[in-house]
Amino acid sequence: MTEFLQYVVNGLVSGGIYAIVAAGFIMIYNVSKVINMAQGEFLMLGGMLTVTMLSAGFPYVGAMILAILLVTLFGGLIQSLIIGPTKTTNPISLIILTIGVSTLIRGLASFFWGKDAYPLEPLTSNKPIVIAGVSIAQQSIWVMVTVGLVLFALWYLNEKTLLGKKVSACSINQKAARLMGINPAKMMLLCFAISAATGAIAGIMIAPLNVTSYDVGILLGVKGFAAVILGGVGNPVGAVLAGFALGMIESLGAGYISSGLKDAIAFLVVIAILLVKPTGFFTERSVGKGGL
Amino acid sequence: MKQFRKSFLIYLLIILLLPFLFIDEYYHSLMVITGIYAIVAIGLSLVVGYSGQISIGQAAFWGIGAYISAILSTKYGLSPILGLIAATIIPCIIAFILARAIAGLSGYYLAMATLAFGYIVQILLTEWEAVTGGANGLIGIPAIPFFGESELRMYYLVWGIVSLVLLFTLNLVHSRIGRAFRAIHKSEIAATSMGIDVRKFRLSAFALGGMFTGLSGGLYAHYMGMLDPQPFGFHESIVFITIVVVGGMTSIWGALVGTVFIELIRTGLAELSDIYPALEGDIDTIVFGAILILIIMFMPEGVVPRLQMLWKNVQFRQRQMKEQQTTYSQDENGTTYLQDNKEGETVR
Amino acid sequence: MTAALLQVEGISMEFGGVRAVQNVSFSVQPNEIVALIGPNGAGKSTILNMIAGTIPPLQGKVSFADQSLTGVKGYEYASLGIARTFQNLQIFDEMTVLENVMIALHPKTRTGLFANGFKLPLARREEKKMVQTARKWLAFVGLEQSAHQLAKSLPYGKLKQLEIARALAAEPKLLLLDEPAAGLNHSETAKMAELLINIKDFGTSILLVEHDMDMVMSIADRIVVVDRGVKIAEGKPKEIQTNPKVIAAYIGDENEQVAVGVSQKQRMNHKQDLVREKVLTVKELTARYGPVEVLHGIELEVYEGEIVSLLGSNGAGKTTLLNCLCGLHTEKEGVIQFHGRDIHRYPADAIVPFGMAHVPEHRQIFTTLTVEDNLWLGAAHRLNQTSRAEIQQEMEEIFTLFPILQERRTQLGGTLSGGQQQMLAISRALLSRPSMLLLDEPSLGLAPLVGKEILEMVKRIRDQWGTTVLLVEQNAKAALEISDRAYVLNTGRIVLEGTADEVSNHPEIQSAYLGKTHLS
Repeated sequence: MTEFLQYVVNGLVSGGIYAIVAAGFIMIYNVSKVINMAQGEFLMLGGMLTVTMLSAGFPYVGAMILAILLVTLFGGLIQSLIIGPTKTTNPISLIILTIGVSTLIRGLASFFWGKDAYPLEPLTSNKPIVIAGVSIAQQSIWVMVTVGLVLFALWYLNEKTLLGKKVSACSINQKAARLMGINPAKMMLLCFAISAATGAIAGIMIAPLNVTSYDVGILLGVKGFAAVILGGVGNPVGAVLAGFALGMIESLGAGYISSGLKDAIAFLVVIAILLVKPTGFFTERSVGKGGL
Repeated sequence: MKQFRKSFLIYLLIILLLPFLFIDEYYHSLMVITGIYAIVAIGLSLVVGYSGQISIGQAAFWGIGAYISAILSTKYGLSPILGLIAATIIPCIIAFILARAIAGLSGYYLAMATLAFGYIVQILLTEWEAVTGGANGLIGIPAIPFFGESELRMYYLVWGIVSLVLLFTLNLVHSRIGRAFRAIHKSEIAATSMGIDVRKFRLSAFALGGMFTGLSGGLYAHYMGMLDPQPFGFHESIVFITIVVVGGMTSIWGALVGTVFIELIRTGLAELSDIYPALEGDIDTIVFGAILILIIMFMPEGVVPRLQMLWKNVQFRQRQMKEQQTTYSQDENGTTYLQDNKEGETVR
Repeated sequence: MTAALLQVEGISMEFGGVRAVQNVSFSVQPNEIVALIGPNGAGKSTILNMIAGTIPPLQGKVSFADQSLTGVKGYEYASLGIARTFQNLQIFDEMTVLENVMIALHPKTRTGLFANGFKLPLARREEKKMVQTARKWLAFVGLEQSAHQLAKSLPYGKLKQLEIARALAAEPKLLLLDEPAAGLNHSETAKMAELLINIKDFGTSILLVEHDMDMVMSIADRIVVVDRGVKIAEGKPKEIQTNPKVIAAYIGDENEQVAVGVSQKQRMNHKQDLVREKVLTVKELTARYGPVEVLHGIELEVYEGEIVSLLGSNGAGKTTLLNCLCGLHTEKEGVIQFHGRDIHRYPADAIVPFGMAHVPEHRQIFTTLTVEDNLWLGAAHRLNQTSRAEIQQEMEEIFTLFPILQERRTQLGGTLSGGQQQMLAISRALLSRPSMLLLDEPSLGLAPLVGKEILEMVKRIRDQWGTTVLLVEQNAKAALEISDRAYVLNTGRIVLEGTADEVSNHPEIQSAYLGKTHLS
């Protein structure tokens, strides 16, 4: 039983991260119809930059904040310099564009930091907490707290602020949004920046649980993408739930079957679900046209 | 129909003569690798460019083809020729089954499925030690009889196959099948209303792509003599996509041009990092990423289609100038004359 | 008793809870041309799509040559004998004209992947035959000269002919045409009409959706009229032109004449109070969609406090004109002056703060946001100058105008009825405190009574707040009732202008809608 609980806890932690990555995907997709395959790199950059800031002498919290700001700025630059100016609307081309961005970022990361793994010390101590026989790293608790805060903040922004409404308006009906005086380009920039920020935060939180290196982003991004697909592209609630589900499946698979195959199991489940429900588990968020 | 005959003959000439311009075995081996990649590229160009299906897991079929031929010829002692045949047929079948299963998917869902498939295959190749030799892979894969004995012979074998694949695909593309693909590409709804079963076409393209990629994998295995799972993953799938995107998704010649271009860059970068060891390893990722970004931003149709368009513009401009050699002129009284430039005649 | 070629029985379709097509039945006989007409939003394209197999009917059945089409796959229609063209031209522009037609011959070929890949003799023979057959059809429509040109180099008129050649190549028994005369000039339309008659004589029946009434009246054997998703009339052209229900559907109810007398007086009084500042000036405005020019040299002006109507039948360019004014449509040239400022280069979101609010066609409210959210979004761009409390106050005023919105303020926009959504859309626009309100077909898709109610509201808004209104309406009579002046558009040009009285009494107005061949 404790084994099972252990796997569940692990699954919640990684699932939470996938949920944040997925939320980042959705935010950008809803407002601009672009699937940002470079999403995972924001997590990588968050962790790596924090390591760098720490070794440059900044205190932990300061390093975190600086890293987050830098990644946010970076995200904004990517939108305004690369994705925004791109004229093509072909989904194949767009996905390849963001794959290119992801590849470039990874290449630059391996250039500056090399291919080594860097450990990042946890926020508090290394000593795990044991509850009912289940060992939980203190950092895992930080991760879950952060996941909760970030998802709450995103929900609040979306549901309770006018800014969130403006973004929703853009994603529901861009032309009507323009008629409200809303500038879609500005909204896209904002969403990209927020996506980058939340990615960086998630990356900093999860880095101490493993090691961080230049290529941790790919798999995180791919799994986040899988969560988006499973949840029904464009559906934020679906994506978050699917993220958690994916984390669970992975963790249970690693525990009960084989840890080497855990990714394969997760992907197999993804394909299986797609075969049964070609548009994801939940419905793609359908938005009527407000009339005929 | 006759359009590509000239280009094909020129291409054949180049292929035949190239090894004699670059005599060193080092160049021959580069050209063999280029040829092996070209086969994949041509197949992928059918899948992505012609039938508009995004496949970011093509390296999986490459790996399946490679390992099947390798395993059959090492563990079961079969001739590499039989291995190659299996490497062509089995990935084709797998591709067909996969395409059939995910036939209901499109766009991002399809991309995800191919991505997931790619990961699953690579992980299986790494973990299924008993069959695939795991992370250490297989060694002692026999070379192809007769052709495997020298780089030059391998070159001719590989490029012979490239030529066959190229010819087949060019024929296909210039036939009603190719027309149907282009119709589907432009307007699925119009194509359907004219009787084209879009699903069937997409399936065929996917299966054909898998087939060519598998064959290429088999050749790769016998050429390298040893295999490990590393080159059959996401990174290589991205290289394949880069080749097709750079060359021009909708052009078969583009696939060829893209392969040469990317291989040149890869080789060039490898040379560069020999001279400047600091660049080791990272530089080609940076360069590939930058290439993908720049191409999509400024030349999303690809190099070959862009050149074709420029060429057509030049021809159009020339024709326009010829037609404009008749000009009008006015005399002092304000009457306009038609003046033919060439003869200097004035005609009212 | 000849069996009908096409039998449509009780088909219906719903989009997002709204009945777009309700229980429509009619038939097409062999060797017949049937036209499907109706005002904007009537559901004609939806009906055509259901018959063509693009979308399956929610209810009802379509039968072709006594065979039910339910469950038949889209790509099987061609071999059954049904071919179609598209409203927005789905031409394969990167292929030659000949190749476009050859694709239509696809169902008649047999050779597969390998035969073609290896260029087997059978494949070569088939290809030759296809070329010959395709040429024959190009000759039939008159395009043989352009056979080897790239489709995209052809002028618009020829592209329309190409689409028809392509559809004919499948040798269909029934041809479905979606607005074949759209975007064609006078002589091109005449040639198209001739072609369609030739096709009928050749043995193919035609069902066409069309707005060009002159052409419809001259070539149709029978006409089916739909309005708001329901069939309201069927018969020969002469019958349809004089059918009072049809006239009402297009121009408005005859009974509304009674109310005109009353509001006329009100209008007269109001005019004397008007301060004549010119709010909007439009000069030499041309607009295009890609290669097609849809507005040709529009000139108009709107003065402060006026209600000006833009009238005209479908395809006349009214919506395009509004979209040009508010900045949504950018392919345009000319002068658009709003409060003296030339705005023709500004994007829509930049024009909103200048004081122009646009209530678009089909309302376009944000369906998954609440009523309240929709309203706040309308005021969103003013938040840096106006306090939330003031906007709250304005919302209260709007609630007195539209109390139903207050009742439903926390409900999602998509759950409102059509009329309520229209009120929401207008309120949303009002919250941006516009000096000028653009309204695109506010009564579209609404029951006649509700539509009139909405127009009354518009008038009240002008009376209460002095907002200038530019109104596009299909229901010409109801619109003229509340307007001071009007412009009538036809195929992208202004053909009539004047005060509301002048325009509504002008004899030409009916023919602008129903074609010149009617007898008054």
